[in-house]
Amino acid sequence: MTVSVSKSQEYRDQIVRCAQSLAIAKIETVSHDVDDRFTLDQVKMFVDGNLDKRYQKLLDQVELLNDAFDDLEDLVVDYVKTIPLAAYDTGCSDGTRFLQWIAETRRPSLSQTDFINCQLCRNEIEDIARAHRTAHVRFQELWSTADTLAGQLGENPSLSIFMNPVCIWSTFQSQALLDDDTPAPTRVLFFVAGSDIRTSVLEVSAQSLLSSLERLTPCSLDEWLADSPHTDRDDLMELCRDSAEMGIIAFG
Amino acid sequence: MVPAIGYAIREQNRPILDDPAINAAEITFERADDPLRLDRYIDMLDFDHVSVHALKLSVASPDAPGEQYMRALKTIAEENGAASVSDHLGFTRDGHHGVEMGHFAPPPYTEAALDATCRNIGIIHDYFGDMRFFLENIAYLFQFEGTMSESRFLSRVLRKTGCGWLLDVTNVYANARNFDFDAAEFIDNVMPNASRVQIHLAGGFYDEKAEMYIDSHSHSIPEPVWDLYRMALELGHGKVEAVFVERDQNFPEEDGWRDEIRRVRRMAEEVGIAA
Repeated sequence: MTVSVSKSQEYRDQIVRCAQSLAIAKIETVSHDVDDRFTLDQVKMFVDGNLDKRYQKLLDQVELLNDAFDDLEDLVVDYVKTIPLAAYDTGCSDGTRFLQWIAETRRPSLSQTDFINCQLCRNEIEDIARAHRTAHVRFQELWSTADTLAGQLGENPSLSIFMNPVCIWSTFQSQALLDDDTPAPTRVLFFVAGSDIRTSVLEVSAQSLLSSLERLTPCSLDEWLADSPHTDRDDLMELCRDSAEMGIIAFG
Repeated sequence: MVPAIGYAIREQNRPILDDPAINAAEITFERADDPLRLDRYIDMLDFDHVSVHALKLSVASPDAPGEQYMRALKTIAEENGAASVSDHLGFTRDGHHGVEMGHFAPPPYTEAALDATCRNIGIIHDYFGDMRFFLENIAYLFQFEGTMSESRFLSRVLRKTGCGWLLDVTNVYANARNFDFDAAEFIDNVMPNASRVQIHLAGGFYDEKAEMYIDSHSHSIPEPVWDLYRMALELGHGKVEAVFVERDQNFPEEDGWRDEIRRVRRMAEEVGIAA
């Protein structure tokens, strides 16, 4: 039996109306769609269960913000009631949208903005790792031998230096997430080490050198040095070792 | 033929996955889709049958399942040597760029829904190639107005697409108990239309306030579900490929995990011998 175009369109319209309504608990909208044998209370039970699960998941995803927002739970409730979950929500995408929603609809202080930004960067790191899974896994394999290979640095000319492909730079505007010795604003590097997300505050010279490595990777020590004319070879080797220890670079 | 038997993998049951009664595993895609994970989800374990269970193919949506979602699903399936993928008979969203409800609702059982569902399953078959697709009957709290019963709708989808049936026995039990129909008759009606079958077993609880049995995967498998399981094995003899037990809350101690899965196997072997 073939279904006519108009019946298909009617079906599309019905599913769109029902999904959009139930996603934000507008139960009355579907009252004419529900079979007579069932009640709107049963529909409400379905919707409440979904919203509760979403609320709990969101709270877990933005747990970091508890230290910055006294009313975090209320904010999550407001958000869940007004902004429906996006199609194909995966990983932390709802958390990312929630953080953008706070930034747009509230007036976060500088320190609150840093918390938002920090969580957004962590989410972005996951997105990069998902999009570049092969490169992420390959780098972490290389990093697992970095300790050993660091000994060949400066002696083995064919040793390649790899920049972690899952990293992003950001700037903290306040002291909220920085220690007392680090004045804000300062650039921060987010990266993955093993299966952990780490952050590191680096000296300005190191930031510049790592930015150049991001362009060159993979490269030898001499190639990196040639691209950084005012850098001392020993200093670069020390940066290499320190960065390898943290998980920012690896050797192969 | 004794089906492959195992658990839906949770961190809490990983320590007993090498039990001799277990030779299958089900991976819940949303749990395995951790972008920072380095090892494959089933780790170094070896199973006769691995299946990846999805939640968001939304087979009854008017739009086809998204290519990006299917690609991610296939990546996990390939990494773990899965023979099959599965999802639920329902819709979770309106369309590609729209909204997600958070959980699947049953479609209105109409010709138009049947058409959309079969078309989407055809797309899934084309995409996953040799990996077999199984469609699970869901536990629902309500239904939309339709023109046919759930069992007829499901039977027609199975016949028309040739996809497998992931018979969630506990879902049938919950729906039958909540909405007053015969669970055995439901299974008996649908089974002849399925060319291949997987089975889900779980335990829930009776919510006094809502006056409903909730399939919460939080308790041991109840006796009536064991009876239905035996019946399903008998009716589906020769085509039940795998049986998976799901547990998401109130996790048992080690003996509890082992005892339940051994009973699942024992019953499958008894039915196999009797046949």
